[in-house]
Amino acid sequence: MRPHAPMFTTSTARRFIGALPSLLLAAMALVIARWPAMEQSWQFDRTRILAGQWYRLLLCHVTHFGVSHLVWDVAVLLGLGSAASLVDGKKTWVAILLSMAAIPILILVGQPSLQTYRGLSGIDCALFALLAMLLLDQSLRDGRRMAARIVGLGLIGFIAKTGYEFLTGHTLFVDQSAGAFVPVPLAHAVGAVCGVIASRLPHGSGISLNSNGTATSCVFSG
Amino acid sequence: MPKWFSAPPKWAGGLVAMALAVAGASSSSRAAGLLIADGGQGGVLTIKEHSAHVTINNGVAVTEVTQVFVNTEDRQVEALYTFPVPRGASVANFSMWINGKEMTGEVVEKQRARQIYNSYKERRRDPGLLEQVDYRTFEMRVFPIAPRAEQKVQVTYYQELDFDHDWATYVYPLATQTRKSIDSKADGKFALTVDVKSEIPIVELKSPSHTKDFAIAQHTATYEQASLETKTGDLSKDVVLAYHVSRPHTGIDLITSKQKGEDGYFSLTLTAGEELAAMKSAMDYVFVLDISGSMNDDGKLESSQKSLSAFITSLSPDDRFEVIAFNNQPRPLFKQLMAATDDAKKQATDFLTSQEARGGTILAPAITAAYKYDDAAKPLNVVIMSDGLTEQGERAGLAKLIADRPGNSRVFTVGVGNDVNRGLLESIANDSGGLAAFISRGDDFTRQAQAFQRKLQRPVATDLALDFGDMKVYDVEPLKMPNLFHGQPVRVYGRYKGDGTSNFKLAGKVMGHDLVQKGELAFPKADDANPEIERMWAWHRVDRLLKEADNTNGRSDVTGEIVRLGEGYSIATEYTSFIVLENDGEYQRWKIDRKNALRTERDRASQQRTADTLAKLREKAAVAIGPVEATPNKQIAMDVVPNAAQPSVSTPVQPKPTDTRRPTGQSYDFSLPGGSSGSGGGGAIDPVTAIFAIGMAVVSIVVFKPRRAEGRS
Repeated sequence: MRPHAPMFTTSTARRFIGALPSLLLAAMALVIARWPAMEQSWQFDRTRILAGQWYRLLLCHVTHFGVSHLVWDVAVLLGLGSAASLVDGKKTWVAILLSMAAIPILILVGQPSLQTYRGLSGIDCALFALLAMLLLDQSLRDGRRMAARIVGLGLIGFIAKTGYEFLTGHTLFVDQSAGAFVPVPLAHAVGAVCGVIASRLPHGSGISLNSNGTATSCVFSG
Repeated sequence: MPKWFSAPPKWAGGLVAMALAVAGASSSSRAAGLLIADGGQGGVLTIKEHSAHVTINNGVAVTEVTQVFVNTEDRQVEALYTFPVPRGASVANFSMWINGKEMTGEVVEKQRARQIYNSYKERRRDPGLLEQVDYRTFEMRVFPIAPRAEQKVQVTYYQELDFDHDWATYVYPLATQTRKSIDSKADGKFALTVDVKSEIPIVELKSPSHTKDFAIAQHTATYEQASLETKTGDLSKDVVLAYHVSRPHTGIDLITSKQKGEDGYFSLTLTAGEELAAMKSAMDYVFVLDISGSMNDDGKLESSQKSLSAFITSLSPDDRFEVIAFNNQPRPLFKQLMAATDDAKKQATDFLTSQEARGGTILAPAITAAYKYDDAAKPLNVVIMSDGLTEQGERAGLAKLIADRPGNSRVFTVGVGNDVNRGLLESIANDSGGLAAFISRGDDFTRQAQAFQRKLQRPVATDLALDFGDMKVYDVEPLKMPNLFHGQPVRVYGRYKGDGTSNFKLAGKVMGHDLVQKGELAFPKADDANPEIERMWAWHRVDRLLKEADNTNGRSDVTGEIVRLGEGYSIATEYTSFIVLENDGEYQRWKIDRKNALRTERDRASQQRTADTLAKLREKAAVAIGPVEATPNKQIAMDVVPNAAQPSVSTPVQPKPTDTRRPTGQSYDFSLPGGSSGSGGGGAIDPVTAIFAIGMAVVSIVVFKPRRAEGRS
């Protein structure tokens, strides 16, 4: 089976546009980390959000609880954001914007005991799910069975991990009592769903482009 | 008009006191303080007015008690008014109205104040004297009160409120007798107004002791008001007000006070947030109940029994416990640690209720017995419920006993009522890494027990150390930061030089792991919003010096410093008293600086600003109260179900409080470990997942290479 359309854009500008949200978020997270007071005023704070500070719903993602939290979140965001933007910049935008909006809103509604939230990991999860789904699709179309198996296993592992965290409320790989990570599985689960939704958008909604900038509406068809 | 009467005192030979009862009085009850005619001249005094106005601003309460005495006889008398103050309270002003003008008192060394007072008394001129008698009692002497004349006095005291799991409790003592041989009674009206202002939103304000007597108004999310005015209400117990603030995050709050050109003062509060709620573990408890004779007073034994029963009832099945009653010797119930089953709890409750107060208080054998239940596998919590009114000579032995405790144990002390030896109970608890709690007779025992239990179950942070970076901070009180317990904030007072931003660092341990938090705090060049913290700093310094002296070589070495602090910051201590003289000239004659007059002026200006702010908040809230315009197609939320007789268009609705707070301090939230059910959370990517994800990204780029041919086409 051969691909029907180019998998990656060749335009540097368009790659950059696709990666732009990841780069912007990473830059904001790194910059704001220098001003703890600013992080505090941007973080998800249930009391203050309900008092009218709605902007926290969007800005909370770039705030972090510490260096370790920041480094891993940003590293994953840059890695997955770059890769996903190479595959489908438009869907990368959709996954990021959708998860940015959905995660804090669903935390606000669905986890009333959670007072504060910070971090990019929900968006990271959205990008992970998006990239995995896109690669899985492409592998199947390309007939790359081994690649499809590997990606599929990775996706299953990710879903299992997120599901475990969501159901048990505990982390899988780290000691949460050590203070390094305080997980919010709901954010990861919502992010993953957003990534899957973005990957399933109708053909043509992506910005996988050819070199002359024409949208390839049949990128994943066939 | 309220009238207070007293029976003849037996303790003061030669003194004639009043023992009148008003025939047909509609209501009378015991009340705070005791008013007698003293000085060997006899007489009858009543209190014409008694009102208290309390302003609670971010956990610091300023209580202003105004009273008007009336001499009902045709001769001159000296009034002696002895009154209890709540634990931790610092008397900060004493004023008398002389010839219609308010004269504020000044603080001078105690003996000198007494000499000055007596010299005026001999000449039958107007002096007033306010002295601290012991750790809980103040005496105010006013002379002369002319025949049939009135004398107005005002006492102001400051206190930090106790916070328990975001509940702050204020107590206005009414039940405590300052002298047991005299039965003081109150008749008629008593008025108490409390303004509660908090930077942290107030969730609820209530009075566990006088639920039906208080009218409570919520003006905004951060300002509520409670008022009590009663002629028939029950004044035989302390007035207790509790308010619940929601501080969801672990963090610190800072308020400052600084006059230009002087070093500043700060108060920093470290609070454990809700995100730590999930951190708890099964515990072993040994409850030690004092059943000595002194527990008979003030209903202390009954209160202790109720409180302890509430505590035991709330134990988890995983917990184990024992109960020991003691007076001259300890008497254990189970003689082993029992799992907290329903049956064991019932046995314990029956055991507690069967106890009667008698005998002496010998605490050491009870603590020694409690230590024997130590199990290396679990932390042992020894919870002592006592008034601490033990022999003075037993203190040194107790200190050694606490120092020699098993390594896995902590001692917690609970004092019930106002008549407790707070110093001893705090020392025992603090020295063992535990903490002390004090419960008033009118309090909600179940709530207090649950709050205390939460603190025991969740030790939050130990070995705390605070570094202010380049900011020049000094004279910090306490010298060593205590452990931070869930629901028990740690308050630190100190001084600072200059101004600027401090890059602070808080280090400690949480659940055995290192905790390091960093942030920025601004120390301003000038701040006149919180002058009360200057006195609170001085009071804490005095308190520490006294406790240290009592545990070491006696007080002689610290008396000079305490007098200096008392006079400098205008606080009454056991070594300094308030003296009120007739006019400024008299103060000059005795070479007494009018420090308190200046300080009181500044405090009142600040309080007035607060009062103005509160008045504006009330006005703003009042604007929204009234009829709501008809909106035919829109549902209006109402408390009352609309019907034909109550059209919705005219039904007043309670306006939703708006948050109009003006920050006067700074807050900084921390990230501490906690469970996912807690309140603080982060989207955390763990290293394993992160490496896997990044690996997948790299592989995707390498394996699924761009198809450049198509890009070139």
